[in-house]
Amino acid sequence: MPESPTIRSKIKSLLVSALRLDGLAPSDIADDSPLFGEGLGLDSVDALELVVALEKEFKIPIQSHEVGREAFASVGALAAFIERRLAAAGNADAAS
Amino acid sequence: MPIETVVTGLGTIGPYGFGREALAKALAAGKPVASEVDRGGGWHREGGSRLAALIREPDLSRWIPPAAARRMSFPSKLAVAAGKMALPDAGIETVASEGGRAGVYLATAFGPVHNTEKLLRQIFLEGAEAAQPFYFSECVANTPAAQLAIAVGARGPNVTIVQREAGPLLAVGRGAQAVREGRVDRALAGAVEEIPPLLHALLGRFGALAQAEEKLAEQPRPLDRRRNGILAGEGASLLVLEREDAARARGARILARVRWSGAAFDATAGVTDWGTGHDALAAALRAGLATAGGAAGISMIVSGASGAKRGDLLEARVLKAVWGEAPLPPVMTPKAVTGEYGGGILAAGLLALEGKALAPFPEAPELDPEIGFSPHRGAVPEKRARVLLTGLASGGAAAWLLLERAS
Repeated sequence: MPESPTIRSKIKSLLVSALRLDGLAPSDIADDSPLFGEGLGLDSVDALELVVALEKEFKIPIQSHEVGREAFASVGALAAFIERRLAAAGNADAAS
Repeated sequence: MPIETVVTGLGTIGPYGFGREALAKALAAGKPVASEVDRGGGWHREGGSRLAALIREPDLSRWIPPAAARRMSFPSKLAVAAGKMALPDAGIETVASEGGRAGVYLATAFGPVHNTEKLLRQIFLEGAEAAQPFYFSECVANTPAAQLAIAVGARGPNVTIVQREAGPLLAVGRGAQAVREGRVDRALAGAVEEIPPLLHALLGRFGALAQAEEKLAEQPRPLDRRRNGILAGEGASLLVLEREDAARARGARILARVRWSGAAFDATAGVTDWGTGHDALAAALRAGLATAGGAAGISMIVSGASGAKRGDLLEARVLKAVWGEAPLPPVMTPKAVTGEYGGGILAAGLLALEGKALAPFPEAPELDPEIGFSPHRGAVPEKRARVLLTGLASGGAAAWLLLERAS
């Protein structure tokens, strides 16, 4: 199931606001751009910030072992991860 | 021949702008660089202080790239920017000499309090899980010193001094001592502070801030009969300290030699107030100055007097006890312009040594009989071989710094 464009859009906005990526607009972030290392250049501290922001925005718990794996590879991957978690929690409304 | 510590660079940021010329202009004008504090949070007392010496919309991008700035609290940004401003002023690209160690000695009275406020707000209103890691990592007092060390590659000692009004002088004293004892080759030493609205409101509720009274505008009046509190001010001032022989060997311009630094504690002070132990403080100052040529050789005093009722009185009593029957040298009070905190006094002390004017405030001073003298106004005296900087803190800490011309 393709993830919702709304979720991707929310994630991009969160990346910019929660991580204080001044000078970068959400629309500047490509869906498949790597979040860590090359690409956006985020690091482990950013990962912590991002998890807190995602948990707050989508009201889902994210375990530490889930961070840094495939789910956090890109905005697209993260959106798919969020959608799966929302569906599992029966909380799809949060995505809209 | 003993190793001497000299000041070779200055970086200063405050409500007056960026750099020594901006500060010199403000000091010459003698007008507090104050603006309205945002009272929208509802924390301020009705009728209380409305002003602070605030840095408005600072663009620090020339010193801090955006990728680094997003990881810094406001005090960290100020410290890094002032530190990076100080290095080229000293004619060096990095604080670490080749193969050597460099230290950071930074004072702050309150630390990154705005981040602390945001962190606690998140915890109380949304739960601990909602607390952003950034606010936690950048809410403790020593993060500005750590960020500064990272930014300039200072791999030696990293010291944060939290001693309120005495902090800036203590920081420079510690840095100078480390250089003199060979523990570091160079040091960045100074102070940083931010004054967010909540802190301003709290200082107001403690009765620390100057406020308007009938026919009296809100402003600090150091050593004046009408003084009723301080002007809270934010900013950062960083000095580059190094060995005099090394500085001369590289042809550096020497701004001042740190002739002596000293500290004492007034055991009669309350936790949030100044004490009455002027005799003990005077004895400490007198003994320290005796090792550096005595009080007679001092041509100016750049006083930490800020407009605090009891603090200024203690300051005056200490100075009068040390000078005794001898006339006091001109006493200048730059905190009337820069506000208290942020280390503006350090930069002002160096400018005074250079000969820049430091007007206390725009109106004519009124003599306080208990204090017995008024701040010097106008031009700096021609003779200015040695300048004594003073800092007496509420809570009891005291520090002094004796700078002398070295060129």
